[in-house]
Amino acid sequence: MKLTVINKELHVGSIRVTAVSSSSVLLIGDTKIINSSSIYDTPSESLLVSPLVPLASGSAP
Amino acid sequence: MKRNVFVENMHIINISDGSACICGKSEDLHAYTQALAVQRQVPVFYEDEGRFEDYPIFTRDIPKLPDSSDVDMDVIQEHNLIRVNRVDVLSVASASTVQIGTTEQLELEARVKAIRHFITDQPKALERYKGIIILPYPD
Repeated sequence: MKLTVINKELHVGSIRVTAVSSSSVLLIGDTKIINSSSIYDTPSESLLVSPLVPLASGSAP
Repeated sequence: MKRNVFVENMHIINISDGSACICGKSEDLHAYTQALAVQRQVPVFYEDEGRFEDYPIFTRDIPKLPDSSDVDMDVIQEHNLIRVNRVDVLSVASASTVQIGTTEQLELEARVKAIRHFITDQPKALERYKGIIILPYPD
């Protein structure tokens, strides 16, 4: 498939956005490739009912 | 492809967790973030709590689209100025981008695991506590 894009004058007045989040893009301009993925996991086993014990500790310095 | 960018006003309150704001040209942008979002009935958290390796969401493969595509794109630049009067953004977070200008390739990836923790031995004193308590990790 052949696609021809003609970039003419681009003049943005005003944009108001509350949030851009979880690998999203706000782009005024052009690009060739956007590869954006987001995994959000909140399954039933992520609901814990237990005494106040911490999660297993990590490897933070 | 060369485009000039003229930005009058830009207001962003927060850029966090591997996000970016770019005015102008960029080539290849890779952003990656992983997070454990823990909500507790009692607002008590521990330093160094949580381990990404314990949850498969942080290692599992994400299906990728093939790099090559059969679209033959041709861009004709009739006017190479992008003029922006005003952009207001409250928050840019979790491997996101705000860009005014030209880029070749954006690769963004965010992995978030939400955990809701109900406490069975809730201390009476914390029942109506509104703040956050951070404790050292117990030995």
